[in-house]
Amino acid sequence: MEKRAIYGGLALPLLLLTPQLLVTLVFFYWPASQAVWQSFLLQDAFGLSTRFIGLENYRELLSSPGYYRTIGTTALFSTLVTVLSLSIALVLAVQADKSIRGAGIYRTLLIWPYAVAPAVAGVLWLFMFQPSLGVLARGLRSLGVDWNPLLNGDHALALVVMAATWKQISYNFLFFLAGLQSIPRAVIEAAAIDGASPTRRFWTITLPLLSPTAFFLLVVNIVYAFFDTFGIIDAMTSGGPSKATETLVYKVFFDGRLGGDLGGSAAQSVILMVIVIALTAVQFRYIERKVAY
Amino acid sequence: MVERRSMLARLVPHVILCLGVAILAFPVYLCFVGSSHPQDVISNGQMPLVPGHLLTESYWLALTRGVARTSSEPVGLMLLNSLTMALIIASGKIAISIISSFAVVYFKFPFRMAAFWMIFITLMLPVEVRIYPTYKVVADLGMLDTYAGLTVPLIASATATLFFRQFFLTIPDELVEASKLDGAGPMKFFWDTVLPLSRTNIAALFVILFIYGWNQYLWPLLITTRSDMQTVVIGIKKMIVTQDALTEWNIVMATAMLAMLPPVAVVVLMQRWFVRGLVETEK
Amino acid sequence: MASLSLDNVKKVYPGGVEAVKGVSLQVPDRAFVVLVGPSGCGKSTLLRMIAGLETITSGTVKIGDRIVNDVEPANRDIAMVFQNYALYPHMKVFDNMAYGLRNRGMGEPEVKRRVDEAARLLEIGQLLDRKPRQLSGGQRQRVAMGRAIVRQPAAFLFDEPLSNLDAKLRVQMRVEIKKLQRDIGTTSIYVTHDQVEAMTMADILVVMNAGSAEQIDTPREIYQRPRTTFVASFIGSPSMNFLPAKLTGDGKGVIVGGVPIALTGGAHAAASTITVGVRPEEIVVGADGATHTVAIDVIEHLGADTIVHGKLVADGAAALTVRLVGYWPLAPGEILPVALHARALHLFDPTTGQRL
Repeated sequence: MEKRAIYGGLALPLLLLTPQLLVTLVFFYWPASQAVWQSFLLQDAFGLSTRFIGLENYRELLSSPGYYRTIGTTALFSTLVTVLSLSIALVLAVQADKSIRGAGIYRTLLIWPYAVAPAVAGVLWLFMFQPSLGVLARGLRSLGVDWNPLLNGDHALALVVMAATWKQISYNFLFFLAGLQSIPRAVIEAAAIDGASPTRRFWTITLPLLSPTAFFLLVVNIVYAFFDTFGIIDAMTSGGPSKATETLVYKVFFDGRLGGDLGGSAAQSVILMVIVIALTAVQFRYIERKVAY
Repeated sequence: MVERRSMLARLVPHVILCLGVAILAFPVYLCFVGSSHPQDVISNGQMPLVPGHLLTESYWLALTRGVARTSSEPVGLMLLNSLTMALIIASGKIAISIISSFAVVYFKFPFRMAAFWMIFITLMLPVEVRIYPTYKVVADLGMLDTYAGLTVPLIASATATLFFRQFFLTIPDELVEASKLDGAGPMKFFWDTVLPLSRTNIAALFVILFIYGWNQYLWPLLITTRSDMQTVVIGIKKMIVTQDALTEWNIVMATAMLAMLPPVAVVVLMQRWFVRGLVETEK
Repeated sequence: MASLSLDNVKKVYPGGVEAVKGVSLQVPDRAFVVLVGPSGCGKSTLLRMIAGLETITSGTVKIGDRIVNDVEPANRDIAMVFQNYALYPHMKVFDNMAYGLRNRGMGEPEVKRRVDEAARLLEIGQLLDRKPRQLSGGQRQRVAMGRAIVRQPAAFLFDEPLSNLDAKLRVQMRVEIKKLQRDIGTTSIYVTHDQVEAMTMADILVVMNAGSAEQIDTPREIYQRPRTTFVASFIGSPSMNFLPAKLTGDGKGVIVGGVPIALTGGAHAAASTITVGVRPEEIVVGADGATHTVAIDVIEHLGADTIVHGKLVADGAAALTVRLVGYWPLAPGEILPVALHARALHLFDPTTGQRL
């Protein structure tokens, strides 16, 4: 799509683009290319000498069991967060869509957690489930659960999943509600006249018409679980206990900073970059399809 | 819906929704309660489920002193840092994105598509995939522990640029043409027409970007070493110490409340713009 | 105020699409010229080239004595009224009208004088403090006109300004624009696809088709002596009937549906096949002097008129539409006797479509 009436000239548009392009060059393209370059280098512990080692960093990474464990953790974490936050949000959105007068109020009451910083969300959930003093941890104990996320990896993972899900429900709810409200009432009414029960209408009419929204949210949620949950994990578990809650992004951060393994960290960054590009490509195909509708 | 429904059937959605609201609100309620009880009551695991009497004291202490340890800064200062960072990021992103969109949409010049793609591709380079090289650039430029270091590297925005581009494409061509006939050049058209027409879009984007800026975590964590440059989101994490008995949970919870308040208030009070910004930037 | 002239103006888009294929046109000072044609005929492109909103591939555009091919739109001394009005949505009516004057550095007292004057002329004085979205379609139309008038330009350019209005308002505004133009006397070029607007408003009518001006004439001349079958069918409602025919051996008569009709004018090429055009309103109905009969298919009662769609009862059974004044109690299947008079016939070359 293009404007029919546009201006000529070269200096003015370039001047207008300069700030943005400068920032992207200095802080995006240069570091990204550095990450790629560093992934082929080996740096000694003091950073005094570097050596080109080709794909050695990747080979090492892909032969380390720890990396696969992190991939597994990330996959499990992302799946749980995505499935839980999408389904809870869908249930809430369907209910809110039914209540015509209340929808606006419920929306207000349900969207605010979006604004809470991931790290702060982590702190809130930590406070509830802190084994020795948390109110809910106490509850679990009294039910006979030996709750201890500081030592038990599964408990820790459950905790970060809960906090991450809690924060993401708002976003999904908002988009599901908008999607539901954009389904023409006439279609639902036609289905009712065709004799479809409310439940059947939901599965055969509402849900298929909502599928573009759901697919879009699926991608967004995966991206969220991969990248935006860093704050939650760092605040709650710092990847522990014994790396049970370490996601790919957290590992890049951890290996580069404390481990000092810049080459390995860079190789991980490059792999993450490939994942982001793939996800963006998927999302883009979706956008194109939406345009074609 | 289409059928007439019984009283009970009409009640069910409200019950489910209220349950949802309660679950979402519960952590914040507990946080509020926690900020009103003394440290030792919380540490003993004896905290009641109703607010205590130390409310003003906890918040006053948090704002002016922070936690008692020596390295800690008052939360008031952290909030100020967060506010500064969020405002610079939000307005900076809007400013540089609106002018680059204007250039890409309203001018025809040789590198137009190249520039557009260069901005677009940054979508695929989140800070998480280039952490240390970016840190090194900022360090080399001497921007560690500065507001510039905190904000400038985050200021490029493909999302905002695409958002404005989308909007500009909906402005009728006739408006540029009328403007040309009325003797206005490109920059005059920008100031007199494009900018005023973009007001609501700017507001919507501002809400989203303010929250984005306020909630930044990884970047400030890397860039700030001095405690007086800390933002509240970073600061709160550092208030929690591994030996639980030493954590001043009442102060931490008061800080958490203070850290949540500005972005949540923005979402609730500017809900119309928030929803619009969120939905539109995803197009 | 000024005359305006186009000399062999062409527009070729990158990619080779020829939107305007060389149009020449002389517009005397104070004239009202209407460019009419179907969508895609190049009429809007031509107007936009005069405005300077499209580059001119070749040929020259002159406003007054000045060639303006390379002059910026703002400096061509023209004002334009757009189809969607293109009012600045965030400015009050007053500021919308004043914007172009202020950009040219005019002093505020003069700006106010001119805007008030135009507002009085257009009867929109009470709207000056409103924003465009608070106005009705007709009011916006007036403001768009006002924005053009205050400039006191050499020429007004109108790009389908009435097509966003409902039918009733359109008729009213049509009359007002024409009257206003006559009072102010500014040379005007008006683009429309509506033949009624074209016929009623134009001093000079330009019928365009596929990038060319098919005919440039007064509306009356275009109606009475259309130069091509395209012009003949585009102007007039219902459209002109076209019937296959043959000239007689001496070239002084024409055989339509097997019936010879003596022509009044000079002789044509003998015995050749031609197309005969006849307007529905010029077909005479009645048994006296009937030359043909029509088998009725469909009847439309418009109130003041009755339109009969039928077929000529003859070899080939060509479709024929007849317009009758008043209410005629006819029924499908009836046979209607009609007369085709020589003076009502338009003769065209069947291959080139040119008038003979």
